[in-house]
Amino acid sequence: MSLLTIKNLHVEVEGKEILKGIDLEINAHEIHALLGPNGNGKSTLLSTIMGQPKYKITQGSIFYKGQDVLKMSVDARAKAGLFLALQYPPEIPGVINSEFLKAAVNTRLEKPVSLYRFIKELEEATKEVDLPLDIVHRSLNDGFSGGEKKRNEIIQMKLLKPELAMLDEIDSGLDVDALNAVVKAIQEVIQRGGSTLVVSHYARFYQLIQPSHVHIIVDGQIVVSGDASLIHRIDTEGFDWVKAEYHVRDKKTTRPNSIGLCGVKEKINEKR
Amino acid sequence: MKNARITFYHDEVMEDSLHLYQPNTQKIVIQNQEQLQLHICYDDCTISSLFLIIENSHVTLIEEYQGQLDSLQMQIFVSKNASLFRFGLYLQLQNQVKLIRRIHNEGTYHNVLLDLSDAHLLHDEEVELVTQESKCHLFSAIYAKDHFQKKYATKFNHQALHTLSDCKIFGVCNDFAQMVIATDAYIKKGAKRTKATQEGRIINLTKTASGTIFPDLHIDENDVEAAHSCSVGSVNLDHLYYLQTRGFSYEQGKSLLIKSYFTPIYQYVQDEKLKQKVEMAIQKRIG
Repeated sequence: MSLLTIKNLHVEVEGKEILKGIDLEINAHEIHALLGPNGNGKSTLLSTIMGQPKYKITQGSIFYKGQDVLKMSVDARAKAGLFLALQYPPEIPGVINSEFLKAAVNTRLEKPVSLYRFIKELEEATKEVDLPLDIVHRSLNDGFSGGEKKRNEIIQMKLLKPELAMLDEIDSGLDVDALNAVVKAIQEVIQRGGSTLVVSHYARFYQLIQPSHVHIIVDGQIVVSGDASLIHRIDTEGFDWVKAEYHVRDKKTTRPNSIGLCGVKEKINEKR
Repeated sequence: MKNARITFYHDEVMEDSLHLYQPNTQKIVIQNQEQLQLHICYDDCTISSLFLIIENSHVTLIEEYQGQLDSLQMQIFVSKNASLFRFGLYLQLQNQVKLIRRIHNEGTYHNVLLDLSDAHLLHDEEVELVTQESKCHLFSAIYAKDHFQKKYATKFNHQALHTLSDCKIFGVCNDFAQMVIATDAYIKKGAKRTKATQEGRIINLTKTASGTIFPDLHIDENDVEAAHSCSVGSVNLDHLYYLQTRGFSYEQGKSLLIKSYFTPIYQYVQDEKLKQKVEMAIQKRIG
C-alpha cells in the first residue's frame, strides 16, 4: 500500500481554482521534490494535504495509508503521521516553546512523555540545528529570525517523528550548517520507513537531499514527473522548456525561475 | 529580602508585621529599605483611601483583593531613588468595585496585574512621570465572563525629559461580558526624548462578548518615540491552524491561545508560592 495517494485533486481558494487535477503517489522511503514557478500551487498542495481550512476541495481524493484524509481533522492528520513545516511559521506570543513542544509530543502518546526523555531529545534536537537551548524558553517563534523559525520547525519535526514530512521551502534563510541538519532530519524520516515531500527552488538543497522523484507543477497541474535529472535541467534552462513541451502557461511570469545556491551563497557572503 | 504583611479586614488592620500602616493618616510609609516585599491583603475591606509613600527604597508590593470592596482610592508616591514593583491580584473580588490609583512617580514603577475576578470593575489608574528618566512598565491580564463589565482606564502623563511608559494590556472576554480598555499616553511640552508604547489585545470568545480598546496618544513635544497598537477579535485562526498541524485538537489549541494572554505574567513572579497560586488561579478560570 502506498503511503499517500492523491487522485484528480482540484482545490479552490476564494472561488479561484488553484489546483486543477493533481495526481501523486508517494511510497515509503521516497523523497519527492516539487518544483514549479512561484504561485502555481506547490504550497497549496502541501497545505491541502495538511488540511488548511482556507482551501476548498472541489474534486478528487487524498488517501494516507488507506485512510481518507479529507475526512480527517487537521490534528487527526498530524497524529496519523503527517507533518508540514510551514514556509512562514507564525509567531505566537505567550505560548512557551518548550511547553508547546512537550504538549505536541504528548498529543501522540497514550502516556505523557517522561520529563527526562523529553529534555534529552529536546537538547539533542536544538544542538543538531545549532540553536541555543534558551530559545525553547521563549514564546513560540516570537521575535525569532527567519532562520531561527525554520530551525524551530526542524526541531518539531525531529521530536514529532512524522511518517510523511512535508517541507515548504524549509531551506530559505538557512545557512549551510542548518541545511545539513535538515538533510539529517529527512534521512531520519526515511530511515524510520517514512517519506518526504519537499518544496524548494534551490538545486544545492536538492543535491543534498537527493530526491528519488521530482515533479514539476505548473498552473495547478503536475505536468512532468521524473528523476533528479529534471532538477539539473530546470537549473540550467528554467521552466520555459516545460511550458513549451507540455503546452502550459504558468500563472505568474514576473518573478525569476532560476534556482541557485541558497545556503552556500549566504555562508560565503557571511564570511566575506 | 525583608518581608512584611498587612491585612485589612473591613475597616480594621488585622495584621501589620512591621507596623507600617498609620491609621490616623491612612498612610504606609517605607523609607530606606534596601529590599522589602510587602504583601497587602484587602479582605472585605471598607477603607476607602490609602497612601503609599516609598522613599529611597526598593519595594515589591503584592496586593491581593478579595471579597467585597466598594471603592478604594490609592495614592502612591515613588521617590527619585526608589522603585516599586507592584503585583496586583484580583482573584476573588465580588460585586461592583471601583479602584482608583494615582501614582506620582519619580523613580521606577512596574505594575503587573492579574484580574480573574467575577465582579463589575472600574479601574482607573493615572501615572505621573515627573522627573527625568522616570519609568513605568505596566502589564495587565484580564478575564471577564458572564455579564460582568470591566473598564480599565490607564493614563500616563510624561512631564519630564527622557521618561518611559510601556503598557501592555491583554484581555479575554467570554459569555456576555463587556470589557473596555482605554490607554492614554500624554507627552507634555518639555518631555523630549520620551518613549511611550501601548499594546492592547482582546479576544472575544463568544459573539455576545464585547471588547473595546481605545489606544490614545497625545503628543505636545518633538523628538519623542510613541507607538500604539491594538487588536480585538476572536482567536487567531492562523495560529490555531498551526497548533492543529502539530496535533492539538481545536479545543486544545484554542485553550492554549487563550492561556497565552496570561502566561507572560509568570515571568514577573519570582516568589514560588505566589507563582503556584497564580498558576492555580489561571488553571481554574482559564483551563
